[in-house]
Amino acid sequence: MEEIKVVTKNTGETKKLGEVLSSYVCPGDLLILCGPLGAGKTTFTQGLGEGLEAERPIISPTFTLAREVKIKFKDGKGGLLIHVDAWRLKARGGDIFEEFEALGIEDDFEGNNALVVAEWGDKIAEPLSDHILYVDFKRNMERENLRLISFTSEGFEGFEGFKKSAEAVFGSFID
Amino acid sequence: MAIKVLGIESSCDETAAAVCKGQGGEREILSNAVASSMDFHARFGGVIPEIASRAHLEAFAPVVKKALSSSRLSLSDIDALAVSAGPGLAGCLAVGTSGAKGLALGAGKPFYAINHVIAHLAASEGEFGKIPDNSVGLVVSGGHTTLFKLENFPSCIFVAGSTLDDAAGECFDKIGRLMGLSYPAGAAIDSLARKGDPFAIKVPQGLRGRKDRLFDFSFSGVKTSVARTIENMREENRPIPIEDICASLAESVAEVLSRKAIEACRHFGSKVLVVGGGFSANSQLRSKLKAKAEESGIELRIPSLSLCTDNGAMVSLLGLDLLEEGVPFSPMQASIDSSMPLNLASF
Repeated sequence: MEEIKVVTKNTGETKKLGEVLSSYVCPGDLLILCGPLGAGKTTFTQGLGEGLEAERPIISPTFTLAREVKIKFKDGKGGLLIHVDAWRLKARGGDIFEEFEALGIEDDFEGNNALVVAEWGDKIAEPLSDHILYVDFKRNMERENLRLISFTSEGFEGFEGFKKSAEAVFGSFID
Repeated sequence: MAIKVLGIESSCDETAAAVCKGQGGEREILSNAVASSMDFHARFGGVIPEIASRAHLEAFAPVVKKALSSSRLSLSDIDALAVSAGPGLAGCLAVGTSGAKGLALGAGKPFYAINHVIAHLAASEGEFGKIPDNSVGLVVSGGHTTLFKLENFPSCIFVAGSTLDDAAGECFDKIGRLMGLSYPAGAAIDSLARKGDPFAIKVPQGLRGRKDRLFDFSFSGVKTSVARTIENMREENRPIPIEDICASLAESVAEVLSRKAIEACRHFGSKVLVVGGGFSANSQLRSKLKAKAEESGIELRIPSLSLCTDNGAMVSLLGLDLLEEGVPFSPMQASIDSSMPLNLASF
């Protein structure tokens, strides 16, 4: 398991980090975003979407559970960003696996050149892909705007490339 | 001659159907049936599965039957059907839309696949009559926060601004959850807020006073700020002043929503402000809107609570508007669109 940690100082930097990642994602990848409310998950996804020339702005998918936006991968090929938010499922209780399955993301994932970004998706979304990048967001108690963002790869092929770029832009962080 | 439209709604949690009658600008709600999810809680012996389109499927026929029988009409007396085709949860929309198509085909009636968010504005017509030209519309719900310029409702409308991140209702639900309230948290926060001090805790107002984002909203910062406040209190082992937090949160959100809505009326020279969506049931928002509208000489059209939350009448009322305007019916192959554009009233 490989890991990289980055500290961002404001929402602009969090967005920028998402944009940096956009060069290293490809169809079939699954990004699982974790972290408390207001830690920057949607902001990060907005940056990712900008980097992928999303045809509509990225907003919170909490209510509709999943939002699909047309994007362009860095190799110029068109595709789909499926932005999922499992918060409502977790907040409501019940059988979250059954309900997540009922969203039909698997069907949309296959054959659609799609990238899935799943907020609050840990321990639910994993069956979707073998190419997973976990992104964990932490807030700082003392310094309001600071975020510690950790990336862990489980078969995410763009990891090395992303690591180099992120270090070049933000410097690496070791705690 | 009076026309009658059967409206069907299944975009999210509620399965609903209604019959409304229109003649000229006059509107009358003949029936408005909703399958309360409580029935299903009992039947499933627990929380209703969120995405369970099958809940809609089970409720569809009984709800439609109830809407028709309470209006004392049969399907053959109806001039057209209308159904929410987006935005919403795809699986849920599919049930209502397929059902409506089936009914329309079977009875030989035309149908409109309509926009659920725009129907939230049409809901006001059930109590106030047709929306006048050059009004401003505000839709606030768990999934949407959008300001509209309504030049000629419903065929010529523009999005003036929208949330850039979270919807207002979503912000309430998430903070509610953090304080241990059950989902959805809107009603609980509303009543707790009445007992608290609205200025006890500082809550930011997203994009307030931003000239380049005059009619846009942002509630992500509100959420983060309140979450931090709660976490800091927990860290220091202080009791959480839940009533004060609810009151301060409601004050901030109601203030920014009502302020921007009134600003939009001034900006567009509109004399009427139409409000709809589940979050417009919030009492702090209602009283702020009322006060600010009176102050500015603007007529506020905000319907009763049962017409604010998802219902069939709003769908039927939008159908009546489209029919009266002579908007072409939707083709039978019209499909659902979970992210239907907000300036499009029907397919």
